[in-house]
Amino acid sequence: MSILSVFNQVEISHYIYLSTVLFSIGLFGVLFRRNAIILLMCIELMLNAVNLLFTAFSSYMGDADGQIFVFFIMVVAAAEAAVGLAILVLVYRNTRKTDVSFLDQLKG
Amino acid sequence: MLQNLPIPFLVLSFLTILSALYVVTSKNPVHSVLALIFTFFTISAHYVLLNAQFLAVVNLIVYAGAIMVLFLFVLMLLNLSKESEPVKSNWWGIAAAISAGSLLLIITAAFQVSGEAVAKNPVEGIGLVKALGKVLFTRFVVPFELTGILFLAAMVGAVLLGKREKAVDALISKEESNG
Amino acid sequence: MIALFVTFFSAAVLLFLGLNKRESSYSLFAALALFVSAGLSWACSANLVSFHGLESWVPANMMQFGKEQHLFAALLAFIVGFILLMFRKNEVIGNDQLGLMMFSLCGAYMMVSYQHLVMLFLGIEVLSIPLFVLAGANKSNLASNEASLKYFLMGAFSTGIFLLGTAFIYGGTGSLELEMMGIKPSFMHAMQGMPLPVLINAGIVLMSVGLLFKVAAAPFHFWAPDVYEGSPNRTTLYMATVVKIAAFVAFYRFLSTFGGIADAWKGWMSVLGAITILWGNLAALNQASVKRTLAFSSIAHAGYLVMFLLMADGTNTWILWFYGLAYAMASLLVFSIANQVSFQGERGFAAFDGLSKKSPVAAIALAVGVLSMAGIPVSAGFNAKFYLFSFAWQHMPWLVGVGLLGSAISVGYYFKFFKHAFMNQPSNDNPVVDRGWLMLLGGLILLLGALPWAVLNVIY
Repeated sequence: MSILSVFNQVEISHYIYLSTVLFSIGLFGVLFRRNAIILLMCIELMLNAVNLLFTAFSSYMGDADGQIFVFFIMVVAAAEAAVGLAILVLVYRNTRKTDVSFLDQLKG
Repeated sequence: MLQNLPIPFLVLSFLTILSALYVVTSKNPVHSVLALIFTFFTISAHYVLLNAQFLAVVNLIVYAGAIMVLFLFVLMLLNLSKESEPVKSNWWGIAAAISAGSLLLIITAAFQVSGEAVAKNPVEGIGLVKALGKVLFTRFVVPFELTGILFLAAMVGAVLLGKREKAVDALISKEESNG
Repeated sequence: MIALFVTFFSAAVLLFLGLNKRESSYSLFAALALFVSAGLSWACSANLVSFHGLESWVPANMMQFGKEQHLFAALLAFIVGFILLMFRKNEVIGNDQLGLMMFSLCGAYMMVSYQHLVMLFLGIEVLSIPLFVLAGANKSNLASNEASLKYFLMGAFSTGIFLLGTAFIYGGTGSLELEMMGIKPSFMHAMQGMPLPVLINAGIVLMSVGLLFKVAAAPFHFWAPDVYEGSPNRTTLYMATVVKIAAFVAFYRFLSTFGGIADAWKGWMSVLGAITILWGNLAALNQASVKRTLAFSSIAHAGYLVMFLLMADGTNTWILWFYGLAYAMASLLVFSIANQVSFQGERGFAAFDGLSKKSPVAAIALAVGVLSMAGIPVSAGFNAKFYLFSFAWQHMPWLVGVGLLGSAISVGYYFKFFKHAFMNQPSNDNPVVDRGWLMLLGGLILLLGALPWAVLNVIY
């Protein structure tokens, strides 16, 4: 039994709204911020919104596949964060910045 | 519509959205990391509500415990905590807000109009480690094994980027002109 | 599956070979392993050998190993083998970089044979994560750093969008398996003319946007020219060929599941295809750098292949296979010659000056490659475009018109290669080596141009 019979009181649509709000906040951050580390955090936020949505669908439908998918998303997020931070450290070593405005060097 | 919802769900959702907003808007990267960790805690609480207990624990261990510590570590290593970020113009902020907001509006409006529901069929104990382990190591064993390639590649890649090559520096600068 | 095993284990062996410092032999070993993978996959597709023991280990709802999957795996391994072979001479490639490229290829195999969205997701990530690193392999070069960071941020961002789409599709159909998604009740509704649930529609749109980012189709292509220019040449070539082919196969398999059911996406996708073709070709016209020109040309080719996606019904994958082969061989020729002549850092077309006087063989091979990319008759590229356009004509005549217009525009920038190689005086004396391989590739392109069916009947 769940701690609280959430399934009877909360509709799945509320979880869809909540996840979409979280995802949009992350999307806004990716578009708005300039510091690459914060961009990476906003992407993690987007992935977590997706995880929440998967878990909600999985629990409501009584199908474990969604929760397994969340494991794989976590695995990939961990690998991606490791490689991404390695790239950031490399960039920082060469430019002393983690600002994405440095990304304007290659132009036409 | 909101008044019919149980209080724990409302409070948790409110906290989640609030801390997510703080992650995005905070000027200090360390505050952002801490707010993100708090967001992960609230999301884990949502998992408990949703009967996904094992996932809640894993979420804390992997995200809050490992990934965010990596972020903090890099922030401290590069001493970025005080870095002042160049501010984008207000127009850029408005454009970002409009594009993110329109995605939100389109999706929520579409669900509002259609009002469709997913078949509700909760199963007891689905989120426990016993049930999940059985599925993961039977039907999902192939992707599970193949994540090995992913981790090996990520590890080799991180080492490749991180190591200093003094002896190869001359070769690299020669290659660079080619690059 | 056998290709995945051979590639993965030889990559792992390669990593251990780093203990012994004979670097020139690494590329040859890797190329050999990849040709073995390609050969075994092809033999599987032709039923000459079978690895049922190995393949029965994989549940049928995870990956599928039919004839087409083996052929695509063979094609991808063949391309990467050639990339390593052609680029082994004048760049130092450590065993770790070779290993990463082969790991990335394993992801491409997963993408062409997935039956479950978990496999597709993992495939995309196994393909991308080594590439983030390989794009930044010239560590002290700022352009390479920039390419790496940009590719990483765009890749992670598009993964997020792709995953939101996956979650919606999971909610809408209740399954993540391609087979099951097609027979769910909500789908049966749609078959009978009722509108598809919002969840599934939103999922299809978001997943398509995520995949369009990967194939660099307009308007999600903005990252591609910078990333292609900053990356080392072999990585650029890998991105322009293997990543695109694998992503298009994955896209095709995904869309053909929803084939006759949801036609809504066809409208906006055909518009995006037209924009991609025109934008890629027009932007390529006034680029000074060779790599940027080729990057925009590869965006234009992605536009032609979007046209192919619109006919997704699971029966005509051979067009994609042939197009991928023709495009990859032409790219291999042009990129490897460009890599050799621009060795001293010349980014513009001046690097090709007087190629016909320095090395007539290389100049002719370059001409064959460029003609094939432009789609001039008696080259593989012409046949590929001909098959593609004649099939698309039945579905969307106006889009074929846009495609023809784009091909006409493309002659403008492909001509620059001829002008510099055949009309100008030599301005540098960078040697061109590996003439034998260049001739072999040029000959194959002409063979596929002259006798496409003879070759296709033997291979396909």
